[in-house]
Formats: sequence, structure tokens, C-alpha cells
Amino acid sequence: MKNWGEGKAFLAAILASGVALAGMFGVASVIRHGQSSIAIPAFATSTQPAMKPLEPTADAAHGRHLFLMNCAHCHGDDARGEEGPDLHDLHRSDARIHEVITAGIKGEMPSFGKKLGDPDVRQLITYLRTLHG
Amino acid sequence: MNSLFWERAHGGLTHLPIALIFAAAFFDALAFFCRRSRKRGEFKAIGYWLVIVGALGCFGAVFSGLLLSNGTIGGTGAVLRHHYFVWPAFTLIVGLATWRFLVGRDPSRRAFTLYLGIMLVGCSLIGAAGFFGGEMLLGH
Repeated sequence: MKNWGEGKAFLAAILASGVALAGMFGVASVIRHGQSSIAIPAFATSTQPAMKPLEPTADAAHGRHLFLMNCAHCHGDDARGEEGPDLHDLHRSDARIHEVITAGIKGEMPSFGKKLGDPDVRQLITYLRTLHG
Repeated sequence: MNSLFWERAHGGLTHLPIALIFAAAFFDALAFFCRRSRKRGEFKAIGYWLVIVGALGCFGAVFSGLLLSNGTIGGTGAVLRHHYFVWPAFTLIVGLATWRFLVGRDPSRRAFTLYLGIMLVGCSLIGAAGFFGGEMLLGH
């Protein structure tokens, strides 16, 4: 291939960058609005209905109540994520989740250590463990 | 394919282009500073191909990230900070690779100096994007 002049190549590079960025923004739009059209099954969306707990227990039920009162405004009623992340299929240990809930994340998530006691946090974790899919 | 799958796919698809782009910058810098070396042409050839393959790899990295985040361009918190650096880095690397591809392996000294300077900015942006990406996983 014959090499281009540097100035001409510079203009082409700017054009290619713009096209690539616009293309990726377009892909993002397609993913946001038409996930079914690109056939990605079981893909987490905030519009999907919440999965029902497989085996609801008293702890999980109370945990869900705590979740709706304290967490849902950031993580969504169905815990599929809104401002905060999707909490389905968490692959963190109970201890780690406990730590995050009680200590919070600097600049990201408030601490609930003063508001929720240890049994509350454990019930919350029990509820989170029922969220699959 | 749930969000955990895309989290792993994004991690896998991201590190290869990062490594390729950094290596491209390294070999191009070698070519720039070792002007009298007999290997100079080879360094330039390595930098040339690495930046092109790395830029192609960036598409996979960005695409998997979009799938992971449900098509989020901005977001909030750590995701937003990650994206502040991802989009400029992606744009810059695609532009640099396109320019290099079109100009060939041996641009003028002046153009190559400018290219290396912008490459340094691109590597810094990639590094920052990677840092905040890692913060999302390991920072809490």
C-alpha cells in the first residue's frame, strides 16, 4: 500500500476516531434500548422483573424489607442496579458484603453501620443471596 | 451470559490491548532514542504492528465493557471516573493507529516526535482508565 502524506493521514485519523467513537456510542444505544434484538439472553437490565426468592424464609423476608427501606433507592427495587450496581449473583463473601454495608465505600456508598445492627445486616445478606439470574 | 460473564470477558479482553499499546509505545520510544542502532527499523516495525493490533483489540475491550454496563456511556461514581478516561483513550488510540497505518512505518522525525508525545498521553489515559476499572473490582 502506498503511504499517505502525514497531513492527509492526520485528517483521516481524526475522521476514523470520530467514526469509532460514534459507532461505539451507537452500539451502547442499541444495547440500552434493544437488548433482545442482539440476542443476549439473561442479560441484566433494570427493566426486568425481580426474581422471586427460591426459598423465602423469615430472615430473607425481613432482609427484603430492609433492602427496600435502605438500599432500593440506589440499587433499584429489583436490585438490578440503578445508581448503584446490580446485586444479583454477588461473588463476594458474606464477610465482605457485611463490611461494605457497615463501613460503606468512600465516595460511592454511605455507611449503614450505625443504622443497621449485626442481625439486620445478616438478614440483608440472606436476602441478597436469594437473588439469582 | 450474565453480568459476571461480561465482567470476566471485559477483564480478559481489556488487558491484551493495554499490553499491546504500552509495548508499542515502548518500541517506538526505543526507535526514537536509538537513532544509530541497527535495530531501529525493527523497533519501528514492532511499534507499527503493535499499535494497529492493539487498536483493533480496543474495540473488543470497549464492546465487552458496554455489554457489562448495559450500554452505559457515563454512569456514576467509579464507573463514571472509569469512563472519563476510557472514551478519550479509545478515541486517541484509534486515531493514532489509523495515522500510523496510513503513514507507514517510517514517518518524518518531526511527525514521529509528535506521535510519540500523543502516544504518551494515550498511555496515561489508558493507565488511568485501567486504574479506575480496577478500583471498581478491588477498591471496596
